Amino acid sequence: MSDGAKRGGRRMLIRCPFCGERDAAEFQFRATLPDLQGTAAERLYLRRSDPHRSIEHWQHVGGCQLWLELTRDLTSGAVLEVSAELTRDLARGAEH
Amino acid sequence: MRRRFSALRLLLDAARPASFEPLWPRRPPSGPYDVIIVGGGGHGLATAYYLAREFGLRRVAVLERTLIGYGNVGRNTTIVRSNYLLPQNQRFYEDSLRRWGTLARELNFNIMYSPRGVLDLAVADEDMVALRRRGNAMRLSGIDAELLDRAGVARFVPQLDVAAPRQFPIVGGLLQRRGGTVRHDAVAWGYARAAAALGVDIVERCEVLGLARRAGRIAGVESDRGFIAGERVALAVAGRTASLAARLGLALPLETHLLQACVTEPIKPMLDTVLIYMYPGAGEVYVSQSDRGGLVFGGMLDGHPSMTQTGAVTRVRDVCRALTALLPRTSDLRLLRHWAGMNDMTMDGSPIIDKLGSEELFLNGGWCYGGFKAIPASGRAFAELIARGETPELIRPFRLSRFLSGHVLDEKGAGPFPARQ
Repeated sequence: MSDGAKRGGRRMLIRCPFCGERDAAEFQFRATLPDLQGTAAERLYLRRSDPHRSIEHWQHVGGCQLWLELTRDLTSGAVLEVSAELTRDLARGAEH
Repeated sequence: MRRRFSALRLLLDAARPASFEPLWPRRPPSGPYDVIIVGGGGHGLATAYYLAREFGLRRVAVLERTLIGYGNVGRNTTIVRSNYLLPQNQRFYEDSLRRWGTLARELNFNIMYSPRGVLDLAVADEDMVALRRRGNAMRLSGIDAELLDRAGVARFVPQLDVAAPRQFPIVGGLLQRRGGTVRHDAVAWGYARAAAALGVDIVERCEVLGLARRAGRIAGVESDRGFIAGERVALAVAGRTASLAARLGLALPLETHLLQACVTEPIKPMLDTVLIYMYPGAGEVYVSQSDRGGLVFGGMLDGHPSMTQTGAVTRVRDVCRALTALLPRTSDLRLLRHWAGMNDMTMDGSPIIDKLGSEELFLNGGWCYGGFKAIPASGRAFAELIARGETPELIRPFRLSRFLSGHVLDEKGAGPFPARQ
């Protein structure tokens, strides 16, 4: 068993508010929160996310199809928060 | 002094093993420098080498957070090629491929460039249309490309049973004969050794924490080994670009994603070329055999941002499925190792090489999953940008401003997404 497996780093679980804790393979990553400031082009292209708190949209494609807002620590791989409330419109970069 | 390597040298050193010496001296950072390069990977080391060699800047430091060869330069599948569709990419990667051909002699270090051919396989007539288009575009730019039909593939890769019944039959392929592989560690070591011989300080285990400014100008960097003075600061940190940008307060058009690579146990020679195969349902696989005998292969990104260097096992399964579909006899092999590297995925799939604003701050990053083959061209052009302050023609398409002006360089035509596959 490699170091990564011992640390438990390989298996990523996401707690879907509807289906419960499921393997991340059931979920499809959709988008990262873009830079919320600036012009339309800047909102489209730029990223200013904190690597320790990356806010993303995922969809439970292998389950209930729900779109979820995940807050993840990219450096550890930990899922910090899962919410079925999409508080931000990632396409527009605006808060609801 | 640096000793010249030769067959005689090897023989003499083999007779007296104690005579082997470190390839470059370990020196502590000692400013002030003309240029501080952050990141001791392939691109950073190559940049330092060309700065010293071609532009006469000798007061150059390369600061590496870990050890030389620990990052993506030692984590890739070692493929080099210039089989791109867009003319801007063709020019750049062709410049790089030509440099690979002469680099071993130039560095006096055996980088083991092996032009064994890179063959993109087609599994449907639509694939052949796309490959024919790309091949014709390459030939218009003076780059070698050969479109092979099924019999042509069978002749070039006799090991591949093209007649076997498959769910997705092999119908042809696009071959670039000058493409192939290069020994990745040797590239890092060769550039580091050559740069150090020209007076470059290569400082390992030195993490840059931020920029140092005096009177509104760049004065160097703050590191975990204290302040290091330098007139110009050049960032070449590949997979760490996003986290370093966050630390420096920069917003860049990129995200960090993981790409995994695998190697099997060593076996006798079975594959003397590089095969790239898109297997519907399991994704892509690209495979070559190393000189040690292991099959080195990789596939697609893990599919979501991550900086863990620990990949998802589901992706390993996918890429193994694609490999065994392509070469069924590999299903008996055991996987020796698999590992993940961090990829700085830009919004158009092309790199960023630019001066950032009016300050003496330079960025080389956004290499996505294609940075290794670009090292010689990237290092040479980045060095010219840093030394002269003007963007060389070769890398003008890679300026950061392209995103905001609409001149994106989107090889796949995939739209404004990082890692869209």
